[in-house]
Amino acid sequence: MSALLQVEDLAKSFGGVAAVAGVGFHVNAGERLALIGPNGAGKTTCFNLLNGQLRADRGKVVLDGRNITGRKPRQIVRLGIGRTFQIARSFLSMTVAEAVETALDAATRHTLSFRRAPDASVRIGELLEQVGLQEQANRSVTELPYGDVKRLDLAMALSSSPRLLFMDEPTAGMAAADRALLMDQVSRIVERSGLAVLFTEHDMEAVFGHADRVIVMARGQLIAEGTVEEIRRDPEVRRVYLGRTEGAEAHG
Amino acid sequence: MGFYFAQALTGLASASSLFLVAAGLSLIFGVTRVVNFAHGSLYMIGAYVAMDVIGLFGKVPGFWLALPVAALVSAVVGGLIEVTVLRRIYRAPEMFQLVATFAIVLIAQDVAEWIWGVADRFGPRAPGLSGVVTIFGERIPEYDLFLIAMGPITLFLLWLLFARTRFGVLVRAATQDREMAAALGVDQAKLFTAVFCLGAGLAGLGGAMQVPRDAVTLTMDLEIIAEVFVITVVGGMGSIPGAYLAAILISELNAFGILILPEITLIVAFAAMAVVLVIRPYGLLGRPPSAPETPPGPGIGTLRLPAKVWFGLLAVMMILPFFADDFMTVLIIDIMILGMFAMSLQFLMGPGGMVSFGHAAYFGVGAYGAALLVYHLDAGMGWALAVAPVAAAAAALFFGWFCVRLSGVYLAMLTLAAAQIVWAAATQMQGLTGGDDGITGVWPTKLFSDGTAFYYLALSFAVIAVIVLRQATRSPFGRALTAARDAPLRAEALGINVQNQQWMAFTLAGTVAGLAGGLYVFKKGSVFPDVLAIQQSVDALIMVLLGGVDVLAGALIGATTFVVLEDVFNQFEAWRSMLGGVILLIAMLAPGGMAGLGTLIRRRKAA
Repeated sequence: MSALLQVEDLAKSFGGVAAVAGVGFHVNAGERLALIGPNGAGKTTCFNLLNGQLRADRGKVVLDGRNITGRKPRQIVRLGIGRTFQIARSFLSMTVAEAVETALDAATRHTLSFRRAPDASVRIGELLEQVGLQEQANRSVTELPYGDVKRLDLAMALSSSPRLLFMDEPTAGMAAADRALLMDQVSRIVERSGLAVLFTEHDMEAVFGHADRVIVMARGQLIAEGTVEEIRRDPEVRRVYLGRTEGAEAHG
Repeated sequence: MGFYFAQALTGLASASSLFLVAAGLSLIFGVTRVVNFAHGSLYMIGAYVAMDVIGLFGKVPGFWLALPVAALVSAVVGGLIEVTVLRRIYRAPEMFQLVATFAIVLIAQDVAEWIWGVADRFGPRAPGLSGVVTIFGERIPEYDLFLIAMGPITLFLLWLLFARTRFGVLVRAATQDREMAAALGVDQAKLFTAVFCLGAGLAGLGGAMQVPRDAVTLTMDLEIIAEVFVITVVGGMGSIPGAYLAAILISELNAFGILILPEITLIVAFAAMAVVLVIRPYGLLGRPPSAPETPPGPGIGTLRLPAKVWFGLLAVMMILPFFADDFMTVLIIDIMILGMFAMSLQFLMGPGGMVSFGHAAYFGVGAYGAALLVYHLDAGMGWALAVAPVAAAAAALFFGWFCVRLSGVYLAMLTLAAAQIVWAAATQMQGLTGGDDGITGVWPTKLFSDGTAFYYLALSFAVIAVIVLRQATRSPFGRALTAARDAPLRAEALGINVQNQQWMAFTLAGTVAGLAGGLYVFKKGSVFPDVLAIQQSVDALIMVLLGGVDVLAGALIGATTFVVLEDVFNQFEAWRSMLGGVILLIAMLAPGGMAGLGTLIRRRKAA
């Protein structure tokens, strides 16, 4: 079976510092792939390259047989890749429902229209239900607790019915109990829709509990790839990353 | 050959004054992030002070004394402005800062008129440099050579100041990272004042240097500011070498452009700016701002008037002519026309987050479009009113394409430059537009020549404008536009073409402004270039600010207040200063405008 997303030799430097130095991996359809690594490993840069926010110095990104290298973010989202953000707060002047409706309009290229899409309310309801925000529909985005901001971000990313979703630290900044809840929601969505997810995460519980496969980045390069069990046992990964964070989490 | 050489030297000579003023503006912007509209006023003050000094001391040593004295006086005035006004609004949104500095322009104009009178003044030639030298058979004024030398000399001195002194290091630190500089224990307040004085002094020196070349007038403040905006945008905001490069580029283009397109040299400058901005959006030597520019963010509240209130207002407006006298009717027609103009700007600024300092361009193109059709083609009122919004839409499509590539103050400066081009075209293309004499005798058809009938015509147009803009704001179009304003990167990642969205909004705002402009011509019976002037653009900004930028209805409240205030203030000689004072008060005390006041008070009570 060929992969849904194939990344080859992706690289990006900022003023001589190689943030991403030749990274290659693939994401299979319907799979949850975790990208982990210490701070500054190049994970977010990698995401920004994949969704077109940054232009790669070299390398190739292929989605389902189609070369999408160098396309703009709005073109990439239309090809079926959604994205959530590390800092999720956005559209501060809107209510939850308005923000989702805007995302839906963007996905259906309805943004120059003067009329609401006829099925807007139904689809907003569906999306909010998927992430458990039905009750919050009419609240202002500014009033939401942070966990719900993350859920709204997820609902907006899902509005384009993507085949592949990038999630940049989906649980960062959330309380422990809420993290588990959110990751369970994500897993349910994945199972129901067959969506593939590529996510970065510092919370190892979330990674080991919810990833099908893990890739590890350090200093701009991939240093390991494998199943959750393989990565747990990998001595190199333990040395550069896990040993430290697991210890820190345990003490923290 | 010799002729072209001489022309090139003329260009270089003009570049020097422009460079001094632009360098000051750029310097102040770099450190304080305020675009100082009043910079042209400081330039004008420098020129007048220089004339006074020459008057007091005679040509010798007066002229040479005038240069430092003018710089010093402008620096002191600049310092005063910083301490009394700007210091209070550094944290305010850009729009308030720009409008507040424009209020200073208004006050400075009155003060200058009061001190120096309305008559233009002509300075003497510079003593010792009044002759000409012959190069390649062309006669070059000696003073031009002096000016040409002043550019690089000033650039070098500024470089010395920034590279070799502690003050310079602090200024550079503050330009690159304000928070960091503050954390290092730099006394920001003093640094800001000092930088403002320096920038103002450069403007004053620039003004004094122009005295032997140009007349000193009360309009030279706004005449230079558009050109200086173009230069700072082309050179890169905050970059002084960039300002020099751009001053030379633009002045040379003017010097040679006048040979090709003698009527509209500004168009050449604008074309150059357009090319530069498409290739380098932050100017020749400018860098993108280190931190992403903070979006305007949510206002005090996204108030929306319920439909009920609009219908109530409409009912009142429908029966009003039965109770109002002629004077009142005319006043209300004024309010409706300006209200449409202000609402279109509110749409651009509120949901769109784009502050335009040149919205008069589209009002004016609408007005001229209608007037030209009637005057040259003898078209009827219906045709003229149909063409007005279409012409404005075309202009907005054209200029908007460039403007939406920028954001924040860059966008504001570019819109102003665009409006100045249209204004220059209207004043200079006399055959078509009648120049300063305008076009007169554009009267409505018989049916609408009656005041009450025209009232209902204006009312129906205003209703259309309200419906279109209200629907635009509430629709997917307006929401996607707001999304682009709140979080542009996120909007792109969702699939919204941010620039395209803003471009369409710019065009819609221009179209509605054009409709208002068309009505305006038939109400007045004439049109003059002042409908395109900076003052007209700023009037609309003031209305939006008065009413509150977050609400469409705020623009109507603002227009009403503005028309009434103007009517009252007009009886006084210093009405411009009074208007300026009101703007300063609003900018400093009630940044939400009058519509925002209610929310503000409620919040205070709740807190």
